Amino acid sequence: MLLITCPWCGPREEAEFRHGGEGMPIPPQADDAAWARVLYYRSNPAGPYTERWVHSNGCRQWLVVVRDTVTHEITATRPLDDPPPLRP
Amino acid sequence: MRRLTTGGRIDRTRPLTFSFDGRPRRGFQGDTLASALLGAGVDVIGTSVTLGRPRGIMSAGMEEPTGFAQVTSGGVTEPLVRMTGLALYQGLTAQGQGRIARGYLSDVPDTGRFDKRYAHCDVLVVGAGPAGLAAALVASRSGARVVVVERDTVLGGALLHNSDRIAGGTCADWAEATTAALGAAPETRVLTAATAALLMDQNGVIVAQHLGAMRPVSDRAGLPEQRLWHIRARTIVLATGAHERPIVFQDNDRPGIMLAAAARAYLHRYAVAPTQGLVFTTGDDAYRTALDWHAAGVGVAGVIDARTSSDGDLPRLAAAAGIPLLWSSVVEGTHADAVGRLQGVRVRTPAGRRDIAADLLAVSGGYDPALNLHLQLKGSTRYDETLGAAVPDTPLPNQYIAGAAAGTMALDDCLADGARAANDALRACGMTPDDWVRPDVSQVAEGTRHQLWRVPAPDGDESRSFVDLHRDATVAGVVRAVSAGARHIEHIKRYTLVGTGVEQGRTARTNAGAITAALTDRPLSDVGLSGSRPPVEPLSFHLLGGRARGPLFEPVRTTAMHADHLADGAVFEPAGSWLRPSRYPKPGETRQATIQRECLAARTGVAIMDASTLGKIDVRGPDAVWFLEQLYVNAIGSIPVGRARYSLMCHLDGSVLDDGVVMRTGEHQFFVTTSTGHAAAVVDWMEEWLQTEWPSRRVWVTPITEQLSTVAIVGPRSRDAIAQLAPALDLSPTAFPFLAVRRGTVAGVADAQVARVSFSGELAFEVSVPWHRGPEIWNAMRSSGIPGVTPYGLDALQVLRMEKGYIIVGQDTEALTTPHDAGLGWMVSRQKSFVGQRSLERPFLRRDDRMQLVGFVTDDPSVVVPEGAGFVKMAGAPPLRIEGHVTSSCWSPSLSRSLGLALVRGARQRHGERLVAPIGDQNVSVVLVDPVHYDRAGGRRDG
Repeated sequence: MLLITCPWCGPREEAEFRHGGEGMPIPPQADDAAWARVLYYRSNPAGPYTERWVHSNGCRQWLVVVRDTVTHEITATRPLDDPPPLRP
Repeated sequence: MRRLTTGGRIDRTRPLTFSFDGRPRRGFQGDTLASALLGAGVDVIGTSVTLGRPRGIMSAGMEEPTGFAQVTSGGVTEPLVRMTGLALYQGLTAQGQGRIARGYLSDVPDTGRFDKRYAHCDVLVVGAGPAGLAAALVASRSGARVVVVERDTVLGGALLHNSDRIAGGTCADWAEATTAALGAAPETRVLTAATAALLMDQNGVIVAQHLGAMRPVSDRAGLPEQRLWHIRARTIVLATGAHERPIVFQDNDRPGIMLAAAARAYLHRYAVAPTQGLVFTTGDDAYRTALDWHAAGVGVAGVIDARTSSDGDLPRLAAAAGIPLLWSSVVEGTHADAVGRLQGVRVRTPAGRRDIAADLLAVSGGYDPALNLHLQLKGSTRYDETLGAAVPDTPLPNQYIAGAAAGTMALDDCLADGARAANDALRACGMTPDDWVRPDVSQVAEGTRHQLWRVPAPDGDESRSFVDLHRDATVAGVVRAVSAGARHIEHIKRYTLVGTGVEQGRTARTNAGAITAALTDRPLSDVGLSGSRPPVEPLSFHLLGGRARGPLFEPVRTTAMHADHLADGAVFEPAGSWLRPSRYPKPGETRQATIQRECLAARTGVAIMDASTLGKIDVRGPDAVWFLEQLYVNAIGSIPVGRARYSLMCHLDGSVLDDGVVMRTGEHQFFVTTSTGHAAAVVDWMEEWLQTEWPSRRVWVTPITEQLSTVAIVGPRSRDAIAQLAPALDLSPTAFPFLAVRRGTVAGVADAQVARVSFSGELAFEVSVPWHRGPEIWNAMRSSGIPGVTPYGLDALQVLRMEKGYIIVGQDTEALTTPHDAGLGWMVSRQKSFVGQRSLERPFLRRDDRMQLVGFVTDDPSVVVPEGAGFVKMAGAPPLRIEGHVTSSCWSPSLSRSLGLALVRGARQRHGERLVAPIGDQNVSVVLVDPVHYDRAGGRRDG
């Protein structure tokens, strides 16, 4: 079980969190092929992976976690990156 | 073996009786089950797992490959308990395990109590031998929070059977003094009889501790059998020691063949010794066994040493003591008495072969660092030529490996290494290292070890030369594996089973690698080490579950009206984490009769339902309209204040996520309902979009499911019923139309929310009031004087909504079902963008041959098709294509026939088509129809 440092609550057990996957930017316009990439393609690296988690059984805030998929080392956690421009 | 009259660390004033294989035996306080059996002369403890050969006890610790027992006590029976790790207690009942008696699970509910605890520390020390004790002492002196985990019941490890001297006293004395010092350290917690079973990421450790399970049943008051510790450590010192390695030779599995250090442990700790012992070694260390036996007055037949000579002190001392030393000699085979006990050994010496009589052969092929925990997280290792074993390469982050576990074997080095590791750990915690100076240790110089993995069988028959006694795997098996083309050690492992099972290769792994290396003509360093799986010791499911079983398995949520449902004789079912009434049977009524009665009440009179578990969310803020427009496929902004709209939300991929009713309760305020099972998921979904995509939007999402009790009042006479409770509310169809939301006093509860929504197709009102006031509405309805007010449950609700073709998301939809597939394409707005819209434009999601929702009726109205049944066309040659499947099915009391809903390929174009549902050996013929079976015109919803 991972130990994840919530930027607001401090180090907490993985069981308190829910994995939110790789946050994919949602383009305002996309053809079918590009949209399929948004929906179904993820980078899946062997190494550091920037992903979203939510402290669902805690403060319920979303956060960014940089986790090495090989060693499971968590090198950084931080609040969500600067909000993207407003978009419907 | 036999018990000596003096010596040992057992308490001879406290004899204990126990039962093994149905026979009473005697031991002493301080024994393990293994030492008590050996002391009682029980050398043969079972038969091997596949070959049925007699087996005895080979070790005194975690590496035991054969000494396993089924232990039954205190309402718990546990298989695969290591005899060498089980402290003896009065009344212990055990059965040997092997080919004859394999382990079994209890077939009655066990009554034992198992606990969990959580702990955090700066330094976790695993193993309390020389290195672990030194590490724990240093860490505790610094004031750090320390947890020490030791699998034995006392601290000390190898110190307890070591005849060297520390600080002028015995090693055991030093271990005792250190134990006392740790006990007095305020921030140090010592867990004995505790095994660190799992190592997880970021230094999470699961420890299984035996408590009541080590005591007589009468003595367990208040103690759980075992306790599972979840420990999170900032740093870990792994001081798990080393396991001695056996040497492979023909018939090396007989009872009476034991690891050399284990023989010393039985002598020093339990005063158990052979009549005539013999040592077979490749290094100096095992001479201690011969010397210690000699000093205790035990007969020593000699030391067989594979080396040509040694310049160490111990062989010289042995020679001086008159112990016969046979250099350049090896054991080639053994012989046994009628029950299989070792009688003697065939030795090959430079002067030829000879037989030596002995009832115990102590074997030492070297030491393998115990790295099970390190290997669990795929920690790296490298081959050390001097040790002839794998040693840890780079420890994992925030871990420090010390002492024999790191390949450091000499006692003084182990003490120093433990202190070094603890200081490294303290530094990593940002704490001050301690200047502890290790005490003086009397030590002898040891000669160089020689690597000898196996002695070839003199007659070439390697099918009795055991590599893994736990799995009955032999050299012949490894040869077969290599002949079959296996080269990788993990393939050898799976082909031969070497290193599998509970023992996980502790005594077998290195020898298997060395034999593979020789057979494939590679250095051992290239062969590598087979993996080690968690847990280090078997953990019972009961221990993992702890107290979370039966009623405590998970929380059960009940509504404010639960007591009323109980009083009405409700039958309950779980719905999400809620307990909801399925139906309210009258005495003697069948299930079908109850459902029929409740349905007919809703269709002809008044029926009431506790709808409090429906997910309820308050959404408000200046951007609330904009926000809900993004999440729902239908228009939200056009809902007037005081009105509601049935609404649908999709995933980003266009599949249906949930449905519900969105009520506009103010200009910037909404009351949103979700299905019972999706309440939490929808709140999470809203929060996710708000936080990750639209953080600057001013919207507040508040789950209020548990704030409001909701009673649904359903049926053509529901308007009359509610009129009695809310005389001030104008309920006329024009003033209070379908999908209107009003507030008023209902049954004395002020400011109740009343909404005209319907999940049955009948005239219906949903009344929501503060949670604790729900029973007032419920009971006012029950005693309203309106005849036939009938409470109904989920069974009737299902029938009513199936008759109307109303879907339940997740039951009548699948992961790929779009609004269009579900027959709800009319709801999808073309005037706005929303989550899922881009996906719904994909051609694939617009195909006509997708699985679409459809109704069906059976040709024989009395046959109800089970949900999940497949539909096929009865034409053409098999295999027949599955055209679809039943998602909802029931007997409809209102239509007096069987009907249902189904997802069928291209169903919208197939109304009227006849398909067949093969049920067992019966083919049920069905016709596809419109999903709305009842009141297609929809006139009934206005009463």
